[in-house]
Amino acid sequence: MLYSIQNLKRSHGQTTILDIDSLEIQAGKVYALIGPNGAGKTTLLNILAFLDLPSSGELSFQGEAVQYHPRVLQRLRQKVVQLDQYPILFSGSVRKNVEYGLKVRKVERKKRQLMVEKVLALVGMSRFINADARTLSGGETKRVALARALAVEPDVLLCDEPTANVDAENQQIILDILKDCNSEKKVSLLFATHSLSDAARLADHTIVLQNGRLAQARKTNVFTIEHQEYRGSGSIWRIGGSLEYSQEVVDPGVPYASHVHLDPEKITCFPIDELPNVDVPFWQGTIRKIERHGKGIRLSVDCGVALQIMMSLEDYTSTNLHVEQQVGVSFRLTPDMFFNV
Amino acid sequence: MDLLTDSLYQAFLLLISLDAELFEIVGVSLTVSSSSTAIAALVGLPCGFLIAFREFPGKRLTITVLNTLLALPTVVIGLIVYSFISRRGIFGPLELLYTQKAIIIGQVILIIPVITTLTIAAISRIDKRYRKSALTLGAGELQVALVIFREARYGIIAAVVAAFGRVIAEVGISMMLGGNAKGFTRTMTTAMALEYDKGEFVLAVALGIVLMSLAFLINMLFHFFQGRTEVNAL
Repeated sequence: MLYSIQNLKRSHGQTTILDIDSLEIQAGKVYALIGPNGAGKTTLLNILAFLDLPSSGELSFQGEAVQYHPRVLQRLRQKVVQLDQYPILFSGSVRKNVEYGLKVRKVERKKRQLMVEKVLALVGMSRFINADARTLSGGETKRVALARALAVEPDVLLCDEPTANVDAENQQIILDILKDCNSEKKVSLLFATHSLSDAARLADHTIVLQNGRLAQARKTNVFTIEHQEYRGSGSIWRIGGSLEYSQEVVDPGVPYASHVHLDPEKITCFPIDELPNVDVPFWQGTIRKIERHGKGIRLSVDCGVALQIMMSLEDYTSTNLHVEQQVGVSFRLTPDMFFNV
Repeated sequence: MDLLTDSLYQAFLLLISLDAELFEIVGVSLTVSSSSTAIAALVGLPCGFLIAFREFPGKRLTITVLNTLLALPTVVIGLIVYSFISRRGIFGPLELLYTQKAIIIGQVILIIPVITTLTIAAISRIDKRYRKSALTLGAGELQVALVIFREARYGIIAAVVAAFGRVIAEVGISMMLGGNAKGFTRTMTTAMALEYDKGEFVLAVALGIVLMSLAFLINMLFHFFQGRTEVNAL
């Protein structure tokens, strides 16, 4: 286990900013941290980055209880890097910024140079290597800050709104880099975001914070849901802005929920010519990606919204699904899937 | 008006002729002021840094006291130091009175609060994210301190320049602790006061011109570094 949190609280005076009973974060995974402003996302990231101290409770990192001694904290910080929402670059050149963490670790000059060039190439900022860091735009600053964080080859990368306030092109670049870091270098990634689509695209797991408390930790497939109308004894919802869903009223309270979480393991996917012989709503979509995920198979299906579907290896083999195949997907909404953010 | 123009004319002649006495006085002033500024910087910069950087009980009170000490009159410092280094004082046997060292001691006391408070201001203006960035990249406390110091360097230099400007132009401490001994403790300001008493304006005006030129130069430097700090803060 990468992080393990038990009864952790962070307070300022009488105000409790963060109050988490229990949370476990696995190594090598991508976690999205979502929640409204003031939910405690940044505080949690600061605590996980060992930049802030919990007021009470226990935090374990890589199986060891964290001891809040300056030397211990410095050792732990050398494994975890946090990327701020508005990162700031030190005065001087881009090169000096990127090699800072390596200098701190007393990496020899030649190695430093090679690493700086490598990470700047990774973030597409090689031509700025000798530029004054203060002259860069917001998106470029974020990319250099990301390169500075990656240069030290951390075990964990914590990002506070990595795509906020940058243009669409830079957003995509940043998301691609983060994804590659996780898949190729096995960097554990935890990022706070307001973008549910970023969370759905990138994260294996989603952690939802509300008023400093952990809402039920949810995996992928978190979508906005709007109640459209009552029809007969049922209701019509719109999921993710485009998927129309009709079902018997699930719960009198749920029409007011803002989000829905569709458990990837409870979504059925079948070839379009093998419609299930039961009365459940289904939608037509196209398989965009098939990948191994743990002991099962994860399908990315585009059916108006990007759905992540998990199936066992046996089911996958028997259905003979393939990329770009037209498929049907079906699921049932239950009250526990609805929540507010 | 004739007195002023005539004195100015004679003073320029004195400056052009590289008068030995005039340059000796300027030399003493620069030596004493540079020494006191250097010593005060060695004390004031770390103090200012620690006060700005650390949270401790009584921090606000400490800053208020330091701000109050900025208004400490030079004659008060002169009196206090005199009571310690005069023959009857506890440091009397060291025979410091009427030496350049005595002036330096007084001036150091005068400008430590200047350097400390301006350093606190310079460090406090530095964005908190620098500290956070250095920490998350694995820096230790000292390495973090160096990052902050580097980012605040123009403000810190401005603090030292301002302190030098304060001591080069002060007269109370130099007069009371230095004694205005020719060739030893006669500084520009004490020499000007003496020449004024004697009714000899030429040397006083010439020294005034040098002092004003130095003050102008110091202010230019101060504004240059202050300007760099503001540009840096953008």
